[in-house]
Amino acid sequence: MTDREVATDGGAVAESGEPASASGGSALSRLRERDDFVVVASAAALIVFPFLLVDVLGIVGDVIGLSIGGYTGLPSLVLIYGIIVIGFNLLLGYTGLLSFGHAAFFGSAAYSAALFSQVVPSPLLMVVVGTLVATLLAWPIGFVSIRRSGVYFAVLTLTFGQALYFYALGPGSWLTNGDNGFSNIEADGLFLGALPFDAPLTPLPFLDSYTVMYGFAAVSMLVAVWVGNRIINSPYGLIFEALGENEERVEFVGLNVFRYKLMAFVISAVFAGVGGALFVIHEQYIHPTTGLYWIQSGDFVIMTVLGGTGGLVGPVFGAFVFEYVANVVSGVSLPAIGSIGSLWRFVLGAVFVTIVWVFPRGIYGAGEDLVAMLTDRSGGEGGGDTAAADGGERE
Amino acid sequence: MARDTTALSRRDVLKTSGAAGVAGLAGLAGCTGGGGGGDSEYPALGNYPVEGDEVVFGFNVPQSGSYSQEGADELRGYNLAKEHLNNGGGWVDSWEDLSGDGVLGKTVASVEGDTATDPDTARQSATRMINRDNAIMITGGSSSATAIAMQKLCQEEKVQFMACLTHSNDTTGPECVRYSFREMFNAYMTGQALAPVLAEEYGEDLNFYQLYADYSWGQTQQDSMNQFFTEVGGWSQIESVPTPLGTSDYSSYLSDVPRDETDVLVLNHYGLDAANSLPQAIEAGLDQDMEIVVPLYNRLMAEAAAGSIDGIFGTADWSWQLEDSASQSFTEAFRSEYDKVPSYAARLAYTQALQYAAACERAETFYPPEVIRALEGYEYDNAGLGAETMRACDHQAQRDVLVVRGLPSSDQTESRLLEVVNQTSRDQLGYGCNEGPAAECELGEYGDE
Amino acid sequence: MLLLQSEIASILLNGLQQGAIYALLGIGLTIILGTMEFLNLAHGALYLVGAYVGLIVFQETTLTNGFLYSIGITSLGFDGGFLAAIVLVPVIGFGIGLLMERFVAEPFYDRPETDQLLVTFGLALIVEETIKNVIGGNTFQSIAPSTLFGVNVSQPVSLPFVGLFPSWRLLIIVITFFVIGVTYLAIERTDFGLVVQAGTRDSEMVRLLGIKINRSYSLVFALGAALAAFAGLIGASIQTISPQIGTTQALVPAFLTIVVGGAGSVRGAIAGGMVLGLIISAMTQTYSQWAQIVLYLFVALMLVFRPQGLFGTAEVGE
Repeated sequence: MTDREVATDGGAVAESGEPASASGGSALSRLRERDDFVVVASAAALIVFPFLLVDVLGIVGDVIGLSIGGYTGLPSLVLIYGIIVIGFNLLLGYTGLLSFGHAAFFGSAAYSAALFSQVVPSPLLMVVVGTLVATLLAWPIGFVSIRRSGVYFAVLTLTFGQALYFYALGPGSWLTNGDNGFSNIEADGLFLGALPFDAPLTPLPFLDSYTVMYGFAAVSMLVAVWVGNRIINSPYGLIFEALGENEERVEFVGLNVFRYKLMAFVISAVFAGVGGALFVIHEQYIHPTTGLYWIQSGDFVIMTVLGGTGGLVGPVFGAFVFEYVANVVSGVSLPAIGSIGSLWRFVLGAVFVTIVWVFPRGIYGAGEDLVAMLTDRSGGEGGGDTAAADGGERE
Repeated sequence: MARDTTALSRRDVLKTSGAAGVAGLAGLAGCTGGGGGGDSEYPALGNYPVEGDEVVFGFNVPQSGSYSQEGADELRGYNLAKEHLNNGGGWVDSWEDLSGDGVLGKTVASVEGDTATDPDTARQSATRMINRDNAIMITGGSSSATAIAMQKLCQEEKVQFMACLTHSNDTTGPECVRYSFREMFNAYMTGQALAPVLAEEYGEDLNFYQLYADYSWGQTQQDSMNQFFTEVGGWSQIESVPTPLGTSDYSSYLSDVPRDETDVLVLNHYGLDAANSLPQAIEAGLDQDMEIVVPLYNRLMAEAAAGSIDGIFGTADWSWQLEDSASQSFTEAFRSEYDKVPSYAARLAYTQALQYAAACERAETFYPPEVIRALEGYEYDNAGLGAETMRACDHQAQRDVLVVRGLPSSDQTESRLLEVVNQTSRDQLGYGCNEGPAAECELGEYGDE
Repeated sequence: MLLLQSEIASILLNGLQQGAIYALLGIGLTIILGTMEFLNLAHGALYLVGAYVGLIVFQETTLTNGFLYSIGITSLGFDGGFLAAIVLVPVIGFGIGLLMERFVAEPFYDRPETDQLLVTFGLALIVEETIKNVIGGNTFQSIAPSTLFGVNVSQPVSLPFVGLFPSWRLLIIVITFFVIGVTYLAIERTDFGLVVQAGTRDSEMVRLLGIKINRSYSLVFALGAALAAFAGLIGASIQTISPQIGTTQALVPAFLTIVVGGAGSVRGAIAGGMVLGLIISAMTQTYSQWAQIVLYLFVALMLVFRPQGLFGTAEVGE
């Protein structure tokens, strides 16, 4: 589903994106190499991720006496939000459009996937249906919202999401089960349930944090990374980036700005839709507040900015930090202070402000800069291409 | 540059994976070695068997958000229960199932989580307790949405859930599960308990008007009120108006109440919603033309609307003012530990944690299906409310319900805002297994079928 | 559904009362946006601060949790009454606005508006969590006075067509409209107002003309903050007070108000607030389940078909 969606988009680029791709003829072959590199590197990271998060941090936590280890299920959740923010970043980080309504796509995909599972209990088809619904919803919303910019765009996207939220909670309860949450999801494993999602992938006991669900999410993540990388490095991505920097220039070149912005919007909604469907498969549960409330949209913004807009890895890193702090650190009990409990949101706010203020490229970008500085090599090599994408030029 | 970092992290991984590998192998040996404690006549299920000399309870309460105050009191109740289970004291001393020396020879340990009164946050937190901390039982909940969200998860994970503060019919109705038990009463019983008291207080053949919070709890609550006011007092309903969740200004709804026709106004709002709707109704002078009823009181709401509760009827789970010995000994133990009186949220928390521990002792195992069977149909009279039964067909406690009334500001003290009017006996409450909410309840599997 | 005369009257009164609070929030947000092109997501936090300052000035409140409670401070407040609060809350809001302009807004004037939104979003989170952790997460009773100038304001009064209406709310309508009117005149009729007006129409031109722009900026920002804090006080006098109210009751309505009215326009903010207030009040008295949904869809349609808003002219906020 995702592939086909993007493949058709790519076709459109080839026709209308001629001027932009002209400058990158020889660069394109280099990008292809990077393409493979990104996927391979991501695969490697995905292979060690649960082990590091659950087992290694768990052991570290035992040693220092703080429960900072992850838990089975958290790695998949991070990946699901990671997929969403890869798409969200195409909109925010590249095109520069701040949406406060992406929960609408996340939630509508989650609910439609959940409802569809009662007809056909197939996780794969749930993802397809969820994504399709999110895409179909994104088109009209994008169509009317894209014409506005700045605060108007943010508020307009917010209004659609909020209208859906109040519908799901109140008058739409017959469909969504309202505030009780929807939990009658009829797909709990791959291959007609033969491979349950919470079963371990391997019989090895020390790898029991590698569940079937994690495998499913990891493969989805790889596809998302691959697609995301292709988009970023395609003429499309260059235009998105140019739009974020200077819209008039793009218009002056003769490109249809509206069309490209709408594309970016819909693509980001596709990612949110995939994430929403995966979320409901992972959680076997969805509630209007989780799915549709604007705070959820705000969380997508926080994750993206926290990690760092502009690159591919940054937002995913942001999703990791956000979910880790929200679900693990919030439960840590410190010796002197006691349970962190509600303090975690305060810390989140402080970190967030610091990031926006001092490190416009996010935690990941700041880390890159730091490494570049320490190794004392020209920052232009490693971090250069991502830096250009974002804050570098803002200041 | 990039190469350097990967080299570094690879070294790290090798080092730590070595350590974890050893731990993993040890874990493997533990598994095949038949587990510890001789408590393994049952197959592994959920977080059973319990390894080591500790058993972990998960206390999942709101620590952030609007209901954090209530969550804090629940946590006090839980921690007191843990303390008593391990070292004796409170109800443990007089509860024959409980030894005061842990549960089944294991020390009770606990992990805490924050639900933020948000269903998904509650589930994430519970997942962490189950998967990482190996909690054998999760307890908590300060809204029906979070309680239902958690109990569904616990049913899937085959981990026991002991519901704390949840009043919706649905929790032990259409959304009920085998792995969850509810000590608290529900909206249906509130209607049954209030109707006769109000009929006697206000008379018969009256007209009542309802506002209700438009979600599952509010809907079931207004249904029940309608049913019992009509049946018991012969009252008739003028209209019942939904107010969307999260409304904070009810003045528009309130100005729609027909002052001439209405004798009784029922505000089916819980907690903080009621803390807005009740004072606003009084501000509009509705109390001069009619009686106002708030079906469910809690401390949070009574405090946040203290100036407006004078003479307002409602129900409550329990009160520290009750004079039976169980209530008194709990209140004493709580007061000496925390220097304040317990709210009913704390009583629910304390009771639920002890109930679970006692059931394990009776079942002589932590194996969940056996513990569930030990709780089903269990009769007890040591939880401060007289004789109670944890009914097998829907896991709803059959118990007395308190009808309370708000005190005038001049009589209020910090710990006493309400007075108990009546303890409605459980014989006058409840419903058969084929009636009311229970008719829609299908509990699901034990997990050993 | 046929509406009775009395129903229409009460819809109007309730709508005006709610709308006036939205308008206060909207004016504050819109003059900051119009003059400095600064998007302030911490506007709800200013409302929140106003409510808590009001609570502290108005009465002595018993604390039951939070940092202050944990170090032994069990009650907080001056018992100064509502009149003191009406004077002090805007003054403190004004002061906070000055500081905020200097230390938060100024560094971000030349950065993308997305950065402005994000940094103020984070700031709002910090303010909310600070209040929660210091004063406590519990909910406090609303702070309406029972008498004002010796007149009992806690009893409802009988109005023609409407019937009984809470006298305090009637008074709120009077007070808020007075404040709105004064603000409007200040912007329309004074030199300071000229800068604001010119700024909302063409901020670059004002800059080019060499008006002492920095000082005016500070004043505009402070005025906006004072209005938001005042709105918080008014809100706190009719609804319970808790750390969440900035986000749940002020932030989103403020933005809805200015986009409906037209960003940058004071007249628009007033009209926008009234329109939204009336929609909410009309819907809740008729089809209450759909009230919120209709409200949001109305704003969406407004933005689609009349993007400049009711009174918007320039491309402010784009």
